[in-house]
Amino acid sequence: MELSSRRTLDRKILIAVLIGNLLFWELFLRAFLSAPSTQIPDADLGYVNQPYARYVESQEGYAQTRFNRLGFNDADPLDLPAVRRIVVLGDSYTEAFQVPSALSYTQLLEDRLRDELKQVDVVKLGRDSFFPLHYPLVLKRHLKELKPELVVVQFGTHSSGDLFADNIKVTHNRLGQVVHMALEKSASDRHKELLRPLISNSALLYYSLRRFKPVVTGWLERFRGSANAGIQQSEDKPLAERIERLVYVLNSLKALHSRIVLLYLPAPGTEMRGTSDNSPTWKALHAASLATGLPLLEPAAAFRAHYLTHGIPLNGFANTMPGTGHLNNTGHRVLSEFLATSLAPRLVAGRPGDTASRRQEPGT
Amino acid sequence: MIFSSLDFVLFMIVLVITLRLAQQRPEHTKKIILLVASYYFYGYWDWRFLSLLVYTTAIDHLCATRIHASSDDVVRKRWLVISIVSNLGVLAAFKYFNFFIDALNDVITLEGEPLRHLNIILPLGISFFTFQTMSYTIDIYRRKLAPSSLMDFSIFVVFFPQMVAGPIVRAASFLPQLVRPIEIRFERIVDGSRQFLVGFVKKAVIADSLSIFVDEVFRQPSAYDGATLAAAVIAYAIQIYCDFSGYSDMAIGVGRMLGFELPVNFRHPYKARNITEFWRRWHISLSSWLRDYLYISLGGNRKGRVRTYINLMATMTLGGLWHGASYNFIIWGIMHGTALAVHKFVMEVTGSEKVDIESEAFQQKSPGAILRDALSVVLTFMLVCVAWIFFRAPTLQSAMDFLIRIATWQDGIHWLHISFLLVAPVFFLWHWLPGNEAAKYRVVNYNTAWGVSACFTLLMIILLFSPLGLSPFIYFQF
Repeated sequence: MELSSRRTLDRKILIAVLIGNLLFWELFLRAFLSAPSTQIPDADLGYVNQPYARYVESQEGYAQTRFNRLGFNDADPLDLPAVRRIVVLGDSYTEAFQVPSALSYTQLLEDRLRDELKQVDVVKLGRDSFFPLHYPLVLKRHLKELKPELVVVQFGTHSSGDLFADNIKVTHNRLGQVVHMALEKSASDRHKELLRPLISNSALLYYSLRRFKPVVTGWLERFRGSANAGIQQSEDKPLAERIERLVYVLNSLKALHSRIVLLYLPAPGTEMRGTSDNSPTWKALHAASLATGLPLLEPAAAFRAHYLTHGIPLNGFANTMPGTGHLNNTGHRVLSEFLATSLAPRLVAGRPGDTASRRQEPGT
Repeated sequence: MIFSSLDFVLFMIVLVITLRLAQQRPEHTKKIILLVASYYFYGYWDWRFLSLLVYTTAIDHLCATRIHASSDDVVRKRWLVISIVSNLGVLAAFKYFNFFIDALNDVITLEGEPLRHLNIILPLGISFFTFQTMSYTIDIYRRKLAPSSLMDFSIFVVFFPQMVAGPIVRAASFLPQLVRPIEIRFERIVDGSRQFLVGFVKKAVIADSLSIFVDEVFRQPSAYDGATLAAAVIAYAIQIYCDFSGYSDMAIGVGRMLGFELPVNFRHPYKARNITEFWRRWHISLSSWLRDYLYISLGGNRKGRVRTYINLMATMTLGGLWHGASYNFIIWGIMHGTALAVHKFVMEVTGSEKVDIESEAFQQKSPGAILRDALSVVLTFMLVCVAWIFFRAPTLQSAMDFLIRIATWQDGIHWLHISFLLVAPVFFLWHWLPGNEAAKYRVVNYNTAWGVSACFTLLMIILLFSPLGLSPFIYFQF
């Protein structure tokens, strides 16, 4: 095919075309795939989400959402005097960007419990990249306002490893026991602050930076060693040290609230593989649960039973692989059913007078 | 070095600048630059196999010179046999030795230990460059070609844009291009980059996106339901086409940037209305090679009807084996050979006219003709897809399980990856559009605001949506 490439486009038209195209992609991403960064720096937590900002998750599952006034992926907490509130602390599994907010396990749990207990409010205080050490800090911040009756603390397979991140400073006593743990600003948070003027105004830049982060990290690793070395190496950390750190976190939570329930989510795809989850966190959490006397809920058997009955994986989406990543709609539904069954008796036991009186007056 | 890598972009920039700076130098200097660059490109993968390239080049050049120099048919044939045995010997040693050992171990029960494998790796592009060099000596034997200089022949063997995965270039079309000056010209770079961009989108956006779905389903077909498996086969059909034709487009584009024209390798194969037409649209450089150097050498259609069918079957079976040393490729070849023979038989019995490659499906306007074309295209596509199962599945057992699960519409996990749901409709709409080849170059050009917008859009699609990481081209393994 012959070309007349010597006839080049006028430079002004070329620039206009390029700017027009960039604008098109900015709008396209905002409409369908990504909002600009919604994160704002926070002295204690590294960063928090801007209240009421819009967020689009498109890389794993697909959901458009809006943060509540506390900056979490949830509806605003109910402002009723007689409300019975459950607070759920957790990481990205609890934040559940991958599914519509109404189908996340916390919301489904609330719907289920509302059938039995009327004014129930399940409040999600979970966020992507929260370490267990964030949990006491978040609970402390919102405790006074929310006054929860029960606190559910969600852990995943990586949770104990997260406690070895570079930005966690641990103080040991002479016997080598953990006496204090503190969260410092991470390198990632510093980068976010630096780039904030750009990524909080452009969906295109924010989407691109998130997308190419693994590539850039890979390049950096080639030149100056692993940026996530702290976390990666944590897989080799001794079980005893993991238990100690988890016990420290759980004791910090116990100091804030008397009714705490632990929830351990098994590794993605465990129900499909049919093998038991033997992760270091699972072992450490079992030991920490015993040491602190906090009850531990494990939905692994419920996950497995559901998969064997229906053949539907509980993790994975149309844009990821079955049995990988975060919980999908089915996973959230099964988890909510498991939690409703497990938590309802505890709630009834917690305030018997309230519940009994309500049950005696159907229709109220 | 993969075309879609940053390393390759840097390599091309350095090569183009070097050739441009050497513009006023003698042609010999530019050829040395091109040859060194090609050896560097190949050696970047594994420098040890450069010796294999040098060996193949030297043997075939020697044989070709001797064939040409002699007028004695016996001597000529002797040198041809040396060339063919040498090339096939290299292929047999590196590609088929372990397969034949396995086959022998399966058949012969020996006392003691089974025959052992050779611990060797498959040299990149070995099937492509051995076929190219064989065509050179055969053409000289058939007196269709005169031998070229060692320098020109070396460039022909290792010309980096196509040596790893084709198109399989004929000496008769490539060597004359080395007679004229090697020039780096702006308009050729622009033209080549357009073709490269189209290939890049096919590879990075379509093929690589679908590979996530295809790889997972073919990895454990027993986990998925019949609908998912059927979708995965269709996805693979799209993936392998976009991967391979994307590579060919990039190779042609890179060749054009350097001032060389490489042959077209694909002409919308899934538009074919029958299997014969499919093979005139799919991997054209291989199918025409097999026709000219194997099918015709076996007698073609000159020795009666039955022998024609046998020749077709034999050619396609060997064509299957060319792709790799496994029973699956042999079965794939037999399936295509059988389909071609049956189609030829039906054509002869019904007295149908010959397949007209110039005509395309969906060009006629009458509803009846469109419906007939649609039916033929879909049936041909389904046949090709069934054969793809054997081509893609890791083992014969796995291919059979896959096929049975689709045929019996088994239950299992139902999973249609988003890439398939988004890509498949757009792909077929474009693929089946009449006149799409010409339209492609009207859309992708740098001369109009719309053309630049289209190019920029393609670039943004690559940047924003193609899977990250470098995945090698499927045909690299052959």
